Amino acid sequence: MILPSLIRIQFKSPKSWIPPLWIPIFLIWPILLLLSVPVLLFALFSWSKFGPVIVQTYRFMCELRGTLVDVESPEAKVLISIH
Amino acid sequence: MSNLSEERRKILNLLSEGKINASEAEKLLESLSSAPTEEGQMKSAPKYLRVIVDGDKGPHGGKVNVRVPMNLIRAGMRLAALLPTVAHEPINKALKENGVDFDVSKVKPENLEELVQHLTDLSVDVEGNSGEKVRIFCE
Repeated sequence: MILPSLIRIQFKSPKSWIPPLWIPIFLIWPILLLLSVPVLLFALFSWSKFGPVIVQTYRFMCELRGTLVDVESPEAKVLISIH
Repeated sequence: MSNLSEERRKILNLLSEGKINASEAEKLLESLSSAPTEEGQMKSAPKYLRVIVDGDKGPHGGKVNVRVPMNLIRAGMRLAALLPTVAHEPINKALKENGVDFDVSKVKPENLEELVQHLTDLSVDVEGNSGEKVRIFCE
């Protein structure tokens, strides 16, 4: 299981145009891991209570890969794709 | 595939050793070829839940295309099953207010696989008078 590495966000409207954004979220994971060290240490002491929640949250985030939301109206178009 | 040929070879060895007769070997080979393989089942299992909405052709018509991985639904439901009991009531209340009459406390990890399995058979196809279409299916 691998965490998502990129998010593509696209926004189009007749009035404004923003180029498609490829957000490299793989850069965020190490920072987030460092920030969550205290939480993980706390969870280690009461693993039976918080362990399954941490594992399932990690799984949930990994499974976000492949999600696509594409909404289009005459006024605007929004596309979010997780890779 | 290698498992299948290995099984087939074992049957043929049993036949050559005289441990089984030709008709028994034939039956075994037939059952081997008709049995669905794990690989085959994996291939047929849908990967995504799709929701496609095509609005009417008028000036207010829009389009929605949503693709949700089936594994995300599984993971989400497993996560929901871990919710503390105190959280069940406000979630149920919020769901009911939004038109979803669902009891989160009844979500049990052992029932999740069955639930997702039934979801794979789901197919909704609705067409409106002014040309709008809603399709929900698994692929």
